[in-house]
This record gives sequence, structure tokens and C-alpha cells, in this order.
Amino acid sequence: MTASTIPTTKPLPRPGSRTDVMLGFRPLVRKDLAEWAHGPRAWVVLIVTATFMALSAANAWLNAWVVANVPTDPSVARAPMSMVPFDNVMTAVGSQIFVIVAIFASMSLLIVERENGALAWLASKPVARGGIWAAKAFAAISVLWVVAAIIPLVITAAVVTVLYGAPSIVPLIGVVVGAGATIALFVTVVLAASTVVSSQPAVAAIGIAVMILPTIVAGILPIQIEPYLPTSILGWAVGLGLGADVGVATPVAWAVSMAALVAFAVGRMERLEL
Amino acid sequence: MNDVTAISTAGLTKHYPGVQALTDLTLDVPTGSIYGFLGPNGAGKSTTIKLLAGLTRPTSGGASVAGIPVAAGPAYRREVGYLAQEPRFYDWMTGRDTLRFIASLYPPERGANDGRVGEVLSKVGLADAADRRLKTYSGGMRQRLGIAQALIGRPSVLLLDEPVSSLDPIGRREVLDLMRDLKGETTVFYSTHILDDVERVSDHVAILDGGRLVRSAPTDELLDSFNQDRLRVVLGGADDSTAIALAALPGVVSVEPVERDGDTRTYHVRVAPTDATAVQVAVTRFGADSGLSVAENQLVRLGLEDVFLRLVNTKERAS
Repeated sequence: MTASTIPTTKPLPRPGSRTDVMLGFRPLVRKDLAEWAHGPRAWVVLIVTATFMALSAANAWLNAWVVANVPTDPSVARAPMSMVPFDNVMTAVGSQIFVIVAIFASMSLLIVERENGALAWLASKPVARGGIWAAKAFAAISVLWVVAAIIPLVITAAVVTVLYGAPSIVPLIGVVVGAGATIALFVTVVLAASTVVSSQPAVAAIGIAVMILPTIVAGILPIQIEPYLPTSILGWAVGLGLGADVGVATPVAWAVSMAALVAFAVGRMERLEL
Repeated sequence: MNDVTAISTAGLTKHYPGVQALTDLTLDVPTGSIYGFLGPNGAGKSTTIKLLAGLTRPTSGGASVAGIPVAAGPAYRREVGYLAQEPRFYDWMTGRDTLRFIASLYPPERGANDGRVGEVLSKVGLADAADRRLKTYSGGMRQRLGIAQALIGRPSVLLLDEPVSSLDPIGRREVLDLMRDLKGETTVFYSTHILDDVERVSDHVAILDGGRLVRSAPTDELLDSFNQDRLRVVLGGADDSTAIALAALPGVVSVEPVERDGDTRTYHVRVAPTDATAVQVAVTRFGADSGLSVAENQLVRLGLEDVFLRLVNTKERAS
């Protein structure tokens, strides 16, 4: 052979070191962000989420308009819907549409590449498999936070301001932060599940189960467990924004869950047979 | 492992539940060779390539490239350029984007910069199509891009899994020519079941069957080893007793009548490889002594396909 090998001048990173575990993270993030920008997925998420949240927020105003303008049976009692601006922001957020959208938008990210061989192609390069996973998670969380939470919430706040008056800013910031943390949790759950199962419906089912089951379990148990659930992070952030005494149990549970999920997923990635 | 060995495997084994995909593969691939890895479907070729690419873990045994063991992870994969059987790239990228992206995954000292991207695009004949989206590429172009992305980090070894099996004749020719052009630049280890291609471009060959190595050798040496043990003898004036008389000659292992045209008969005479010349002399003398005309008395030239079929079908192992 002539001259194809250029000797490595830098010392090799220790296997298992932090540098090694995340090797290739930055260029992979750039690629994943570019992929989101080139496809329709982010636009679909934005349109669906913004429309749903804006209509949810407008529901009370629409309801009041209907009651005022359409003749109805006077014997039917109708509870008036709140016209308080922040209550209507929370109506939009409470639908959890952004969580459902985040689950469906991220369920194919890893599995499709596992199936079509693109993941094997990347894994054959001098990058860490943990870096591949982390780049996908980081890019998905960043993009979905913007298109499934920040922009729809800005649009929702604008609708609320027009229909009911301006909502309080600090709780609104709490909603934005809490929605981001919730999206991060569910994208991480979905991508971690994608390292275990290889079917998109199964991954989506796991994500939805994580969304629904804690609420059901909390309703059954005689003790208060919500503050200790990572899925309560949105309520915690909103409570914080409203000045309530919310403690630190929820963000600690969220952080521990995130760390555990990331560690699990990176470990699984290293063992995947591609 | 030494400096003339690009790939070295020792007892490389991969078993899945109920399937022994690869068993005890020990192989040394010389540096700079174009090494054809032959075998029927299910022989374990892709498993071997995936093990060498670090995509799957061996059940036992190990492998190294340029002296770096697979277990070294990214440090090992810097020395390996891999192309899958049906490579999938990102269709929203152009050819140049794809190479730039892959180049960005290598450390700066590998020299995988924009200059290298242009150089590799030219090498694989994609310079004119470099800024087209991949969804407009033909199968042959994709495969050449696949070789380009495998080359970008200046690997010691290219691992190509069935690089031409899904291509039309034109695409196949393009890729084979490109592989031949890589000789001297890097070591190419590729799997295939197309024997004609191996004969055209490979200087070394290994044959795998049922997950086990049947034979590995330089291509010419392998063919020669099978071309030393069979003579084609055509005798005029022969009769039914001639075959028996031929079989009695010293050094003859067996005689097989293969053709008859009047009193001209053709025989395949199997001999011990070391006795071929002596048997040829004996046949000539036998013809003269028996009043037969010797129309032909030469070694049978087997192609790689014949050798492959003999090795795979009979598990015949030439010494």
C-alpha cells in the first residue's frame, strides 16, 4: 500500500471517557437539525399544535358568543366558562397536544434509520453511538420545543390577548419552560424506547403510556404522588410562575429520570446489533 | 499481525440463537490487496463484514485492522471505510453535502477537508454531479458515492458488502473499474457471489461456505492449484481398453472418458499435482507405444467458477 494512512498524532481517548461517549455529537447535531429543516415534519407539528392550542384558547370566547347569539333552551343550565386570560392559556396547554405531537414526531427518528441501514452507516464512522443518540435527542427536543411549544404558545397568548386580555407574563414563561421540559422528557422516553423495540407503533404506545399511566396511578393511590412524578414538571413550572410553594421534588424527579433514561439509551445503543 | 497485514482475524465467530453465522474465521488480508470474499448466499459474508465494521459483536474471537483491534471503537473505525450492500444516505443532501458531513466526523489530522472532498468526488467520477440531490442519483452513482464516503477519511481498509450485486451492467462496470483503480491506495476487502467480478479485479480470494472458511489464497495461486491435477487427453485410434491402460500409468489417480467421436476419444485424467508433467510424458510415450495418435495432452484450465463450485460443493480442500 502506498500512502493512505495518516498516523494519529493525538492520544486516543480512553474508552468510556466522556469525550469518547459523545464523540461526533456536534456534527451529528448539525446534520439532525438540517434534516428537521429540510423535511415537512416541523411544519406539520407547528401547524397542528398552533391551530389546536389557539382554538382551545378561543373556546370560552366562542362558547360565550354562541350562547349570546344562538337561541337555546333556557331550561338547560350552562356553567359559564372562565374568561380569565391565563385560565384560557392553561386550557390550551392542558390538552397536552404538544406532548402527543412530540411523541408522534419523534417515534420514527431512530427506528427508520435502524431499519433502512442509515444508523449502521453512521455507526461505522469514528463516532460514539451515544453521540448519535444524543444528537438525535438534542435536535428533536430543540426543534419540538420551538415548533410544538414556544411558537404555538406565542400564537395562543396573542389569541388570548385579543379575546380576553393580556395573560400574566411570569406564569406564561413558566408554561414555556414547563412545556419544554415535558417535551424533553417524552422525546427522551420515545428515543430510549426506540433502542429497545423496533416498531414505531410500539414506541408510540410506550410514550402514550408514560403520559397517561402516572395520572391513573396517582388517582388510584391514597397518597399524593404527583410531586414525585417527572411528568408533573409542567404543573410544577406553572405553579412556580404563579408563585405557589411547589418544592423541589418534581424537578429532582425529572432530572433523575432524564439522567436514567439517557444512561439507559446510551448503554442500549452501544449493545445494538446493526 | 505485521505491517503487511491490513486485516487480521483470529477465530472470529458469530452465533445467533439457532444460527451459526460464522465459525472460527482466521484470515490475514495483505495490505494493498483487492480481496474478494466469496460465498453462496447465507455463507456468512455480510456477517463477517459487519463484524469487521464494528457493527455487531463477535461471539468469540477477534479482528484488527492496521493492528488496531475492533474493540478500540472509534479509533478502530477511523481505519475502516464501510459500504453496506444497499447503502442508504440522506436524500435531501447533495453528494458534496454527504461527503462534507462524513468528513466532519473525522479528526482534523485525517485531512478530511473540502479539498479531500473534491479530490474524492473526482476520483469516483461524481465531480459534475456533486451538487445534485441524492434522490436524482442512479444506482451506480450511489454506489460510487458510497465508495467515496468510505474513502473520505483515508482509511487503511475499505469494507464493501456486495458492492455490485444490485447494479446494472454499466453500473457494475463503473464500480469494478473504480475498485481496480484503488489498488495501491488502500486495501479493499469486498464480499460477492459474482465469480466473474472476482476473477477480473481481485488479487486475493477467500471462499466461505456455511459460515466456515473453505480456502484463502492469492487468486492465481488458487487457480493454479486446481490446474495442476487434471489433464485433458485426446487419443485417436482409442478403444474401450484405452481408459484402463491410461489409469494404469504411474501418477494417474483416475481417468474419466468425457467425449467420443468415432475412434477419437477424450479423457480427463486426474493426477497428483506434483506428477502432472511426468504423467504428460507417460501419456505421450503410451500413445507412441500403443500406436495411438495423441491429439491433445495438456492441463485443464479451470476458471474461478469451477474452482468455487468444486470447493463449495465437495468441500474439497487443495493442499
